Amino acid sequence: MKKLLKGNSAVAYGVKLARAEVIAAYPITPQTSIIEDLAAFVAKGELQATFVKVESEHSALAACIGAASAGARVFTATSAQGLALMHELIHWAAGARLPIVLADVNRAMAPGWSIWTDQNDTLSQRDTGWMQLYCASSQEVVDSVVQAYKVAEKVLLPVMIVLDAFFLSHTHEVVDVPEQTLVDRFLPPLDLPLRLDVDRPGAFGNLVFPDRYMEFRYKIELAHREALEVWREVDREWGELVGRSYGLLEAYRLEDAETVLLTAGTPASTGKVAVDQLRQEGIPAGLVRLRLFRPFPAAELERLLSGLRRVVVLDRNCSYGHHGIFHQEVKSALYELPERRRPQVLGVVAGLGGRDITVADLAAILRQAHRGELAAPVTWWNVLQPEEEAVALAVAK
Amino acid sequence: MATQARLRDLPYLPFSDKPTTNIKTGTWKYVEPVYENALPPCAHACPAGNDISFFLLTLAKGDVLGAARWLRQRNPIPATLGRVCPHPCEGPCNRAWLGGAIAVHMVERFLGDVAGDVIPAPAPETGKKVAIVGAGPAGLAAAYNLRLAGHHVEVFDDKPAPGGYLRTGIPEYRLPRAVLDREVDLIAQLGVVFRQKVRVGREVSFEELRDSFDAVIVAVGLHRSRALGIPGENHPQVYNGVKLLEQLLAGERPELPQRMAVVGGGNTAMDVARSLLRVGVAPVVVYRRTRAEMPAIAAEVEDAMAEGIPFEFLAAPVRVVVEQGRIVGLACQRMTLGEPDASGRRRPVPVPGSEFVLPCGGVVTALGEVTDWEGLPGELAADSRQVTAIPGVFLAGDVADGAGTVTAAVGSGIRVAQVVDSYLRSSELPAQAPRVQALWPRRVNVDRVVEFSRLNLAYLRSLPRPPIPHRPVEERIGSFVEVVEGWSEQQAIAEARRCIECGTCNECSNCLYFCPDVAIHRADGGFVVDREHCKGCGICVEECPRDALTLREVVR
Repeated sequence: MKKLLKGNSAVAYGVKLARAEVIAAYPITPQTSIIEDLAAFVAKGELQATFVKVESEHSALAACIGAASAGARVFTATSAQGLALMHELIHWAAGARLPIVLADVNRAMAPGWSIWTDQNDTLSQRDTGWMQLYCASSQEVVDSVVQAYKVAEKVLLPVMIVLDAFFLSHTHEVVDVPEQTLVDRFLPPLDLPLRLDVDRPGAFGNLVFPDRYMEFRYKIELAHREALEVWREVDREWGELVGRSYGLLEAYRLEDAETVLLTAGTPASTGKVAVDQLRQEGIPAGLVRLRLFRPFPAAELERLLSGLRRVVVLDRNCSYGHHGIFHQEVKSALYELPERRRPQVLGVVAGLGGRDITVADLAAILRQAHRGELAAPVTWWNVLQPEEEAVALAVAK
Repeated sequence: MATQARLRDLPYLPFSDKPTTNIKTGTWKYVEPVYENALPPCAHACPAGNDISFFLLTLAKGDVLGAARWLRQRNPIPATLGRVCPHPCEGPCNRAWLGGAIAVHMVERFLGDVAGDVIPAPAPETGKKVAIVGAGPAGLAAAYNLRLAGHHVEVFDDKPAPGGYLRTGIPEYRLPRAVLDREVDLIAQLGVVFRQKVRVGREVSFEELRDSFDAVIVAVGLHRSRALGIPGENHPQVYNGVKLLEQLLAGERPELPQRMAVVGGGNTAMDVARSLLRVGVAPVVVYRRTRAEMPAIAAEVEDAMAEGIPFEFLAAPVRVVVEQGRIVGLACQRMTLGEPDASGRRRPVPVPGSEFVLPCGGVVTALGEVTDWEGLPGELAADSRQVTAIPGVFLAGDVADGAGTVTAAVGSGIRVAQVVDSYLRSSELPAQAPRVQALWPRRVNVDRVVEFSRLNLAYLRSLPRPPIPHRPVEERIGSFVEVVEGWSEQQAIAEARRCIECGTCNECSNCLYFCPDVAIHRADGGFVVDREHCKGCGICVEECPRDALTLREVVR
């Protein structure tokens, strides 16, 4: 059924279609309307779930972990400081191999306070063992939430579904909401192999000595490797069912491309317009959108970018003291290519704290890169630069 | 023989079906939970020290007789108190914020009326003898507790029957005589000897009492009315309120003027006015301050107003107006409220030139009462332990503290009994006054009062206070039938179940459910903490709805 939905409502519809059984969340802008919609579904009886009100995000995830350990399909949502507060339990959820789905609406970290988007909140959780998937449209959000449960429950790893604040979370688009019967055929009820059972008491996540700890961690790594293929299969199966699939990476106009913009989230949609503009100007530009970030589809990325002249990675995030995080990841993946097929990789940090990234910005970035005018390795785009005397003063100190 | 380890033999997450109890996590703690009953605000406020929440808990479980017995452990007149006590317990009740305070007085009244085997057995005879002067509430409470302690007790009282002011000053519409008679009978059945119509200083001397008894308790109360101190007050139609009330309550119906001014704002004034109304007189209450400053029990003022009795506030009598030998009015000075006085109430100040005459045929004074020390060795005074300067002589009730309520008198009687008991057993006096709450048979930390902020509201729903049934006004006037109607067993139990049980474990099991270390176990009548495994996280204390657990520092 076609509906006009903003990204946050698309999350809620996805969760409802997946028949989540326990929802525990704490409100935080710009995520709040996700759980408001879900609370309304539960209150109206449209979703047979227990909605647990908690006093913090830490408790929200703790409640989800408890319910998931008992074998329930669970959901939570958060943003920025809320995700940071969950951090201890983010690790726990992955270590306990719980197929939790969490929607994070990317919001810049404080201070200074910001409610607008950037990706540092979710990328700070990169090494926790969670899968991460960055969406670019409300339609993709609905579809990805349902897909995420299926993948998570197959490989027993939690998933973060990531949306940009406001550009996606609060922007309305026409969305085809799949029929419940279709989703039910796609996503069977959760049947967790090891779960809390009063008739079979046991210790979950108990003490593991050095002779075994590493094996459990290795199993997480193996599950991530397996998950790459499971994501492909699940996406394909979904495509057969509803006629929409997304891939792990999205390639746009890569034929004969020389300069390619690589990014994640909604700037990719803007980037497509910029690419079209450059193609009209006669510049062979293209675009790659990173959808699945963990597990990292390195082999697929190598295949797509092999032999191209240059890749500009646009990061709405930064690992301070080094590069943008996607920039580092792409660079490290492409190092596996033989030197003659390895493109130049340039980085641009842009749009932090919700600063707009326009078609003109992206077209200018691609143009400069194509002419060899974009500084390597990283450019902070559209930012006030230090004045001469300020720099001198800093050096003198 | 070692076997080859295989990755697939490991579960996908660390899981063990072996217990973790061999890890003694209890060594990590620096605080630990302790099941410790705390004092609920009701019992903290109760002048008689009733263990309110525990008799409510017992009743909530359906054990009516058990609850009645618990109530009578030290309090001999709960049926009376349930009717006449201004229930200061209900003011600070934590339930007040969640639907309305528990109607403790209604439950106390119900339990007081429970018949059957409700009295504890006295301790073995000690051979010691105690004389008590005055059979009012303080004397009755002292007699009851000393008799239960195994002493021989005789009560000397100048009235025809025991009860003191309960009998001579509290009208039947508040306290039916049958109720009082039964409670006095129960005390007598224990072996307390009542010597009625014996006035100390007349039929027996105080010295004789001291010679014949090991201890003497003076509990004669306040029965002599204060005088008005205005011209005309010696007129025969100016009545002493206490005496008039005693006559009316004894069934006498003297010929009285049609319209009478009752001067005063205390309980005696209310009792006099409402009693006059019931014998066909039209009373008007004259009080020099306003309703807010009236020392009378608020509910009694409300009832009096509901019965249509007019109040003349901010009026101070200056003269009884007599014409041709008959009272025709009470001249009053209009007052206004000034700065607060020593009692904290705003002092009434005369308004110049505001004198007016309130038409009436008689005046009743109810300005407060003082002790009649005649026959006693002067004005006795006692310290906070109720011990006088005369060896073996003690005070109880209003003569000890002037607290002015029946309940305070009962508390005073209980405390003096404890002091006298230790005096009789060891000839030693306690260093300080005992607290009735500290005498309860169950263990309670009486210094830890449960504040509302200590309750966990996540587990407490608001439940409305039921209405207190009052007989319709038209049925009240013209008779002394009881105004407040009692509750059925079902109503009393339902109200008991509304009690939060502040500070008392009612085995709700929250602590057990929430303990993350499974370190709380059920034990006989409650729970125990497994100290070997409790890490001292405090979650049980936080999740206890009623503050029946507290954290204590672990000293190693």
